[in-house]
Amino acid sequence: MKLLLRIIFAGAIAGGLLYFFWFKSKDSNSVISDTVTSEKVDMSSTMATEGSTMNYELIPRDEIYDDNDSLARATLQVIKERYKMYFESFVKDLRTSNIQVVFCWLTTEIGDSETKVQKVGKKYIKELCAANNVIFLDFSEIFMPYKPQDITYMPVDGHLREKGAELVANAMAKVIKQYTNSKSTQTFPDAGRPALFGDFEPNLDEIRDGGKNLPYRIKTNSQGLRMDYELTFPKKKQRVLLIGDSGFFFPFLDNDKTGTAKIQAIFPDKEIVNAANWGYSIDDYVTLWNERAKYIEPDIVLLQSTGDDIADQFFSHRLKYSRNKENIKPTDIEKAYYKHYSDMQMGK
Amino acid sequence: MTQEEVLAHVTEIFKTVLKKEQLSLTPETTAVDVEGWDSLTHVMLIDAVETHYKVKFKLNEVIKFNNVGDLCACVIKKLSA
Amino acid sequence: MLFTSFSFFIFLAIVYVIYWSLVKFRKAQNILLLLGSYFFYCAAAMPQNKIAKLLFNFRFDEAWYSFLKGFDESKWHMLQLLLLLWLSSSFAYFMGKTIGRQKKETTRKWLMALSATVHLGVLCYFKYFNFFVQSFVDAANTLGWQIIFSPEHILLPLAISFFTFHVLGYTFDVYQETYEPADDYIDFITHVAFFPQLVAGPIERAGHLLPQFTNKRTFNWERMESGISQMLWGFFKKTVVADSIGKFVTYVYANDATSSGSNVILATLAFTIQVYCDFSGYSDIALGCARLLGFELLKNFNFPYFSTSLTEFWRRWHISLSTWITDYLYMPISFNKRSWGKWGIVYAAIISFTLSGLWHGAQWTAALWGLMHGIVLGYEVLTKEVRKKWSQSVPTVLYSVCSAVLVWLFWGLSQLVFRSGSITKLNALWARICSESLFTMPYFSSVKDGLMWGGLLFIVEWIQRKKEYGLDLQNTNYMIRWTAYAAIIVIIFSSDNLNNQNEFLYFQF
Repeated sequence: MKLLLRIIFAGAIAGGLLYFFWFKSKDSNSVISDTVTSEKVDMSSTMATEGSTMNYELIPRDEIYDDNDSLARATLQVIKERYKMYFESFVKDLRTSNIQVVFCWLTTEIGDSETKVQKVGKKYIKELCAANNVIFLDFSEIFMPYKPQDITYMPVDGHLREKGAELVANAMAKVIKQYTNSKSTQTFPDAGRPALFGDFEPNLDEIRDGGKNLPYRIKTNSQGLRMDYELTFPKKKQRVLLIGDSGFFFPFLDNDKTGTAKIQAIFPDKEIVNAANWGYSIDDYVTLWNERAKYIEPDIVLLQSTGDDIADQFFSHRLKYSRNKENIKPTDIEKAYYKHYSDMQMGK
Repeated sequence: MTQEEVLAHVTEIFKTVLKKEQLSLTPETTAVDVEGWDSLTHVMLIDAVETHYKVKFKLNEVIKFNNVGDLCACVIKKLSA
Repeated sequence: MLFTSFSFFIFLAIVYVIYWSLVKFRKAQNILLLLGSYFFYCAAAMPQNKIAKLLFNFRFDEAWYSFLKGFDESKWHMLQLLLLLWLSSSFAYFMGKTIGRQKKETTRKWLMALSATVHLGVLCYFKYFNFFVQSFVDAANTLGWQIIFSPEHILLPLAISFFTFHVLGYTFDVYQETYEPADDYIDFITHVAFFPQLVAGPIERAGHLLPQFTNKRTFNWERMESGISQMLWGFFKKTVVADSIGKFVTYVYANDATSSGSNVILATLAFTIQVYCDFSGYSDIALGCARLLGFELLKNFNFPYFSTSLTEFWRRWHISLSTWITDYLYMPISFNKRSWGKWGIVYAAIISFTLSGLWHGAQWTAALWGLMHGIVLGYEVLTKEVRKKWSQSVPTVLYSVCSAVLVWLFWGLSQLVFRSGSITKLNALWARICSESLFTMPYFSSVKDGLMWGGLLFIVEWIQRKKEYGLDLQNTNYMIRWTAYAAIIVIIFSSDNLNNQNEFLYFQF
């Protein structure tokens, strides 16, 4: 009898734990699902696409830009096209509402540290902007006179320090002044507006360090945006929206030290809003815009992107970092390149 | 000197140093058995014993004392040398 | 290789299975542990090293390929590290045998001096070379001499402070004839490299650990359960409590010029919780892990924050280090100065603790931390009778609680000194405390999780204070035990901190 009780109890405990772990593995943000899916090569991925049971762990980057590899060239073409598609649909959307869009080329990989990804990307994006009549703002010139350690957290990390953020803010202020009378024509009814305009957890106040031991304090408002006040409607001041990846997110800086805050300090009569986030690429800006950010009703949109966003369009990167992982479907050329790339990693 | 005599003297010395009115030591007594006898007072006790008998211990002798009995035996050895 | 990483689990599981299947072959078991420990050392010592990263992720074919592919820096660094550990332990074994054979006192003394010089010399070179030269240069510069010094890039080998003290202690014991020289070479170098205690203690003694290697192992289910539960408890402390607090503390201390005084105080007190959970958590994992393999390591923490005096504190905090310092530094010095009476003890305490501070880090703040402790310990020795009278004139509970709080606050103050890392930063932080920002609201929201778990921890450990460790449920009903284990597992794996592993604080030693 006692033994039976013991067995039943053990079963209950084991059952509870199993349920807990099963539940956790469903949450893709949890480290357990990471462990479950990424540690053992033979297991089929829960993030598999279209019936494929392969686990796409590798993320090629510079290799795609190899001119001597014909498969790479074809793949590069594919991802460039994808970037173009998103870019143009985004710009078109903004234009229909009379929103002034400015493209911001913001990277600290300049001069001697300019990578091929950035070189190729810059040329392509510059052409894209020209073809679509979008202003191309190049921030490389303002960074040139400085040593990397003075404006970024190098050698630990390449993101901007407060000094770098200040430089960015001053340059952007000049541009914003030019469009100070710009006004968007699109408004939304209050009923249709979502509760969140950004992808951050609302009402956050915590210290993060991004895994680099560079802690910073991040605060968000109830609307999921990294700001210290709430946005009200109908708007009474001109609204400027910054959208992009970690370059515009200003990691490792407290709210009041980010570029956003510095621009806000220069323009107390405007509302400077930032919806940028780590690891986003062009497809994320578009989906974020459509689902949430457009309801902010900005008059000016500063779109920050770099050559990295083109490289990020490779499907295995999107599978890991996109805000819409579930809808990523690789093309055949990309799948072929993936196999080719992983073969290279084994043999090389 | 016999071990009992040495033990009796040592007990008195311990009582003085540790400021105790009552104390009973046997050859098997160790530091854990006596309240107040710790690494801090240990050295003071050794010093007091040395002064009383006018002998000098060496560090590697003191280290080998596992109990009061070892201390007494060492004293006797030094006195008869 | 972090103790709380998935790879370590796999490593441990593999070693465990092979190890116990070889239970009849003691020699083979030891060799397995030796190889496993050297493998572990490589993976743990150089997390940024390319080859180590591959080993750590079990990509053996790639690691082997990288290793063969020509003479690159990663390979060289790794070899240097292994060589250092191996040579250090081999040298100690050899010296142990040599000293043991010698009968003449003067020769023994010279051999001991040689041994100490080599071991400490190596330690000092790797750890303190830059520090000493820089300090000399700074002093010279203030006196007017212009000396340019660019610090040599000396990579501090992981664990060097730990295994150096381990083998040095062994050599002292042989010299003082309190331990027989080790007979078996493999057993000896294995016990030095034994991975649970290699990288952050406890600092073992040959007398305690080596016999466990020369004896046969026996499998025991209770010990397995105890080992796992202690590991779980360590994981809980480290990932749930310590990591919740770490970011806030780093944030406040990094912004030493602008953090509010109240934040500095909150961060410092929170840091006392973090450092306890981090370090004792690690020790729990080490002890639990060793127990799974049939070994008992030295108890390193005994609920230190329940101490009612600093003297008691040092019998409960980092016990393996304080006993090492007591046996090999404090004893000789205090014995030497025994004619000074109480002042000899004070003198010995101050020197021992200041040096112990330096062991923790090559900074003046570390030495200052040690000095502070030495002085207060001296104070306690000199005021023993007075304090006894005080304790008898007030209710015991009141006295104990007040004493414990005072000890904890003093510890917090010394941690402020230690954590600041440099005298300039210390001054900056102190200036913040003495400014009006002291009266502003600190960022409680950033540490509320950590503090809440810390509070729970305090309660559990208070209830368990007579036990070996917080989750020691040896004689309790199985229902309570299993529920407790399940609860801890759920708590650990629910924690957000698992995503962002922070290095154990004591790894840098």
